[in-house]
Amino acid sequence: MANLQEIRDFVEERKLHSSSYSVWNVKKNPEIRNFLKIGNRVWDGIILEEDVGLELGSKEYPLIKTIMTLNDSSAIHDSRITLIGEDLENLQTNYTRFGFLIFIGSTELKSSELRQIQRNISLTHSVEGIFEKQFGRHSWYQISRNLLERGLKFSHIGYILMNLVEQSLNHKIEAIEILMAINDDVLLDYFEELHKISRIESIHQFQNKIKEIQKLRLDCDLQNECNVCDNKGICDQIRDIITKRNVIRRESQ
Amino acid sequence: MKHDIRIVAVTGKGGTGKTIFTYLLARYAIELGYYPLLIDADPTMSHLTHLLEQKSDRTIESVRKDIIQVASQKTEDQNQKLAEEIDTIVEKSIIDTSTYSLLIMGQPETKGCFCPTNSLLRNIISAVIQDYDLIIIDAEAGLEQIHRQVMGDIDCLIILCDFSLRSVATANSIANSANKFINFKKIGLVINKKMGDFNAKFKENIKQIGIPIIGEVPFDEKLMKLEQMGESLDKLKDKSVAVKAIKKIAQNLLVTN
Repeated sequence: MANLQEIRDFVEERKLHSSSYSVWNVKKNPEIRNFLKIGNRVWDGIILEEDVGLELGSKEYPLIKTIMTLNDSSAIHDSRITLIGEDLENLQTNYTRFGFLIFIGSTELKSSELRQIQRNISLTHSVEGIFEKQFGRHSWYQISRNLLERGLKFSHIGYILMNLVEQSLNHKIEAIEILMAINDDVLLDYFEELHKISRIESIHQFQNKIKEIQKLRLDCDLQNECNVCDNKGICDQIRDIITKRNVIRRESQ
Repeated sequence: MKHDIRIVAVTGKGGTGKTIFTYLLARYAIELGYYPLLIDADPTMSHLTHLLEQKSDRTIESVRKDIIQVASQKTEDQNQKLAEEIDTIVEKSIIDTSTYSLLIMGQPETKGCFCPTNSLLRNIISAVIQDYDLIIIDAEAGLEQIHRQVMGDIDCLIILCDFSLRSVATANSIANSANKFINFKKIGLVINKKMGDFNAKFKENIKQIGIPIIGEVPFDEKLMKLEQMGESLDKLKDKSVAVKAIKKIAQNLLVTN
């Protein structure tokens, strides 16, 4: 995986070629935070075809969404959102290609949690007026005309994403930053490359984990299907002992 | 005496001399100034424990059995009590002498996987062994025991074989399964009880295993006599051919020039 500085250098270089770029700090900007109500199942609706004001991404150019974690939170500009490209009100065309990278600073985050959030982060039902349209594994955002007329900007979308990640991972996040790109093919190709690399790394990690689990259970005749094992009740008790021991160890340290 | 080999496991077909090799390796390590932890991980018979003239009824398997027994009662209080005491129970099952410590894995007594127990024991053992500069494991051929209850990471895996092609075949299968069961940094083959030169077929079979030969230990008549008489191997002098050869292997593993 490319390191954060390499990515920043690449983005800085793209700023020189872009007609526009913007940087926001969410903490210093209450308007961004208060623009929309965000949360799980805040909105159950869908957007009818005639009510769609804009699509970010499409079936041909799906969203590129990648989350990366760093142990060193100080390298992340906490609460910063950077956009390379024009903001929503200035987009001249209906054709859009959109992607973002989310950097999370955390020493506690497990790779399984990261994989889960990467899979599940979706704007559908999390905010009124934005729907994440799915096509197989690909997706793109549909934004209602009404929301655009109310003045939705990329800063709001960035904040929604930050908020959803923070809600999912709770206290484990020490810093979070988002880089977004709209209609910059060079930068979006780069984002896509980073996404592929992170996905391959994640698959390798997952495969290694499975390999480890298999190594631990050599005398299991049930192909690791604990749910059908007669000893499951006892194993649950042993897990309880392990939990209790871990608490004791933590307290004694 | 810094080195990157801290955990050594000795394995091979039954009868190839794993236990005596482990014993002599440990003896030399002690001479070098180590205070090693020796792990007798042979589940069928605790040969190393016998060779060291030690005896204990507290083995890791007996601890495992106790954990499963307590868990079967399903009482909160008992669970809490065991959680508080388990680390000490495992530590107490280690025999400490003036020159080494010994941990005996013991014979499996409980049928079933009970994988959380293995994870718990591995956790505790991993914590306990942090205090040792050198850990030498006398393992069974299968390696399952090591991984299941001791640790998944080993610095050096030594596979022993003698002059029989059957032991070479076992060494081959161990080398193949090592990747499946454990993580190791180095792997090496030792030809033990060597008599004369290798014939072409033997050489070919050894070559097929594809791992380096890290030493050859000649057949030692004096050692054999002591074994036949059931006498302590402490009587084996430094000039013994087996001792000399094993020292050489140990030097390569443990001493940094």
